[in-house]
Amino acid sequence: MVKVLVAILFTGSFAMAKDAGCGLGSMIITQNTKLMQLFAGTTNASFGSQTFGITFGTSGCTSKGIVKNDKQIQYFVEVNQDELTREMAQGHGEKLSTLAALNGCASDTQILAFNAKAQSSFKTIVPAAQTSAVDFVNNMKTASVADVCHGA
Amino acid sequence: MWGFSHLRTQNYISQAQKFKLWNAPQWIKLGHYEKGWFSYSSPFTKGFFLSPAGHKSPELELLKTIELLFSNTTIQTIETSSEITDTSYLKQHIQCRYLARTKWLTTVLNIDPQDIVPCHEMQAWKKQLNGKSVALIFAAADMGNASSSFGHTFLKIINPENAANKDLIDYGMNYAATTGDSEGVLYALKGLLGFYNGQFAMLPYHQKIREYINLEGRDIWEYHLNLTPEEVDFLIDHLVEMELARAPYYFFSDNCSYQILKTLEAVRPEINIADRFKHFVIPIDTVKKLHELSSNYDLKIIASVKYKKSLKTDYLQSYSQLNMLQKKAVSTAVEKLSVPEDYELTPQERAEVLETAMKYYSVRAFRDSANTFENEKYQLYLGRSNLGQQVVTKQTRKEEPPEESHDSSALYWGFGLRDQLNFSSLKFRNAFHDIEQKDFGTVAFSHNEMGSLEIRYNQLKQSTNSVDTSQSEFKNLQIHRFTLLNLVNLNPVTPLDTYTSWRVSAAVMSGWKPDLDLAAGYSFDVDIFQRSRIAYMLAVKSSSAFDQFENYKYLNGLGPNVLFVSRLSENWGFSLDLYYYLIDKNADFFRYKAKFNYTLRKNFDVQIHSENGYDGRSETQAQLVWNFIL
Repeated sequence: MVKVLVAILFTGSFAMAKDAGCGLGSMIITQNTKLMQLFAGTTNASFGSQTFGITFGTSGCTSKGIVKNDKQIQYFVEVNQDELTREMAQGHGEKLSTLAALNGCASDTQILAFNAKAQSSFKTIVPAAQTSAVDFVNNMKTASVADVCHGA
Repeated sequence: MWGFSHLRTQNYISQAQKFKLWNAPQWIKLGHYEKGWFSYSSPFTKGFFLSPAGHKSPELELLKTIELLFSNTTIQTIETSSEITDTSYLKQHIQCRYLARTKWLTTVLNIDPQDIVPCHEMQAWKKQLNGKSVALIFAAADMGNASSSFGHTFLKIINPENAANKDLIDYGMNYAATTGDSEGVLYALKGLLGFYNGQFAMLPYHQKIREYINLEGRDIWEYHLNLTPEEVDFLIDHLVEMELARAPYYFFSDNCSYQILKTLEAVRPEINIADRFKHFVIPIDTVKKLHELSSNYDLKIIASVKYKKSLKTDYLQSYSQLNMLQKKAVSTAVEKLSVPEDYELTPQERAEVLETAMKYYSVRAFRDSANTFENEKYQLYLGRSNLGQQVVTKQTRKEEPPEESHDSSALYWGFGLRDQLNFSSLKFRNAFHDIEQKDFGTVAFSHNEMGSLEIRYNQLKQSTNSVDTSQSEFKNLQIHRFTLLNLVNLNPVTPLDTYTSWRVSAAVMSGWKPDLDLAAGYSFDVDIFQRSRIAYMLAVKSSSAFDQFENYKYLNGLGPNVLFVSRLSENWGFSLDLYYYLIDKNADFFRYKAKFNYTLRKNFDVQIHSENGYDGRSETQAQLVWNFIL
C-alpha cells in the first residue's frame, strides 16, 4: 500500500516536473571561478543528483544520456535561453537558426522566414525580462512562430 | 538464440593463450595501458577491469574477459557500485557493456555466432545516437585570460541527420575530473596531485560548448577526423565500455587530452602518440601532433577544420568594426539603454550599435553571474527587435588557427656579457609563450612561462693576479635561474570596461636566492607600430642580491612598474620593462629590462635582451630559440 502511494506520488511529481520543463536550471553552470578557468575547464561540474551517464539513467527530458525527441526544443531553450533571446531580438544567429531547424525549417529561405517571424514576435515570445523557458516555448506556439515551416 | 558452452569458451581461452593475444596492440590500447619498464599498467583502477589484477596485467584481464563474456554473466554480477539502480541496465549481459572488447575478439578469434549476444537495448541506443563521424573539439585560450592558454579538448559525436543547422544537438564526449563543489586552493592542489577522479561523460554539444563559448570567452575549433563509419562505431562501443571507468585525474599529465588521445588510439592503434606526452600534456600540442600525423599520408587523420567564435570574440570584433560615431553611440546605449534619435545613423548602423551593446551586457552577465543586467538587456532587445531585419556587417577578420602557433616548449642557446664577464647559456622552457614572441594563435600581449631552467657557463678571467672579488659569486658552471612560473596578463582598459592587468613571477636564482615579483594595474592599447600596449602597475618584490660593494642584501621593495610591449612588425616583437623599487633599509633600485624577438621562421626565434642588476652591473645576451613539442 505504502509502495503504491509512493509510486503514485512519484509519478505525480514526475508528470508535474515534465510540465515544468526539463529542470536544467540548477545543472547549467552559470559562473566559473577564476581557479576553474586556470585549469581550463578540465572539470565535470557537479550535476547534483542527475546522472549524465552514457547509457543508463533517465530524467524527465533525457533517457540514457540522450535527449528525448519531443523534448529537444524545450531542452535546447533551457540551456541556451539567454543567447536565444538575444539572437531573436537581432533576428539572426547560429542558435536561432538551430531553433528554426528544430522546428522543421530546412532550407535557408525557411530559416530566414522563421528568424524574421521570431524577431517580429519578440514581445509576444519574451513579454518580460524574466520569462521562463516553458513560457518561452509556449509563446512561440501562441505567436505561430513554431509552425512557420509547417505546411509551408 | 544464444547459449554458451563451457567447452567453446575453454577453446577461445586456449586460442588466446596460443597466440599470446594479450600482446596485441589493440588489446593494450583498449585497456588504456601505459608501458612501463617491465610491465604495463592502466590508471583506470575502478569500474573497468574484470580481473582484480587487470589494471596491471593485460594477460589476466584478457583471459578473464573471455571467460566472462562467453558465459551467463550479467552486468549486475560485476557491478559493485550501489549508485547504479537502473535495473534494465544491470540485467543486460556483460557483452552489452564491453561492446568494443567483444567486437575485437570476434575479429581475432573464431567465435561461434551462438556466443554473440544481440544486445537489443544497446543497439537501439546506438541507433538513436546515430554517430557516423567524430570531431576533436579544442576550446582555445580565452583571449583575455592568459592562464587559460592550455585549452581543453573533447570529442563530438556527429549524427549526419543534424548536418543542416542542427549540429548543436549532436553530443559531446568529455573526459574530465569530477570535482563536486569544492573550490579554492585545495581545488588546485588536489587537481595537481590526482585526488580527483576522471571519468567520461556525455552531454549535448550545445550544453558542453556553452560553458566555453559564453562563460569563458573561448573560441572553439572543430577538427573533423578522418575515421571510417566502422571506426566511429568502434569508438562509441569503446566509450560505452569506459562509461563507469574511473582514474585519478592529473591536471597536467593524465588529463582530458591524454585520455582522449588514448581513446583515439584504441580505435586506430597506429596513431600511437599519447605516450610521447606522458609528463605534461598540453591540449593544443595534441592537436598539433595530430596535424603532424596528418601530413603523413597513411595517417591522414584530420579531414577538415571548423571555427566557432566565442561571445567575447564576437563582441570585441563587432565593437572594433564600428565607426567613431557608432562607438560613441554604444557608450550612450550602454548607459541609456537606447540610441537617442539625435544620433545621425542609418537603421543598419543603429542595429549594429544596439547589437554591440547587447553583446556587451551579455558578456558582462556571463562573467558576473547569469542573472545580472536582465532589465538592461531586455530594454536593448526591445529596441533592436523594433528595427526588424537589418543586414549587419559581417566580420571578416582572418582566423588564427591555434595549431599554427609556435610550439610550447623551447630551448634557448645563447651567449652574453655581464659587466666584463663572458658567458654562454642554455635554457629550457617547459611551457608556453614569451611576451615578445609572435602571438599568432595565442593570447596577444601575454607571457606564460611555466617551469624553465637556465644554466650558464662563465668564462672566468685568468689574467689578474689578485682575486677578483667582484666575480666571486660566479662559479664556472652554474644554474643561473629556475623559474617556477612567470605570468603576465595585460587586459586593456576600453571605453566600456576597466579590466585589471597583472603579473606574477616566482623564481630561484643561483645560490638559492629567491626572486618573487607581483604587480597589478591597468594597461592601454597604444596606436603605434603594428599594435602596442602599455601597462602601469604597482609592483612588490622580494629577492636577495649582492650590492655594488659585494654585500649580500635582502631586497623587499615596492614601486611603480611600466611595461611597454609592441609588435613592431610581423616578425619583430619588443618589450621594455621599467621598475623603480623603494627598498626597505637599502638604496633604491631602478631596474630596466629590454628585449627584442625576431622570428626567423615558425618555431625559430632570435632574442636579444639587456637588463641591469642591483650591483650596478648590466647584462646583455643574445639567444637562439628553438620551439618544439616536448
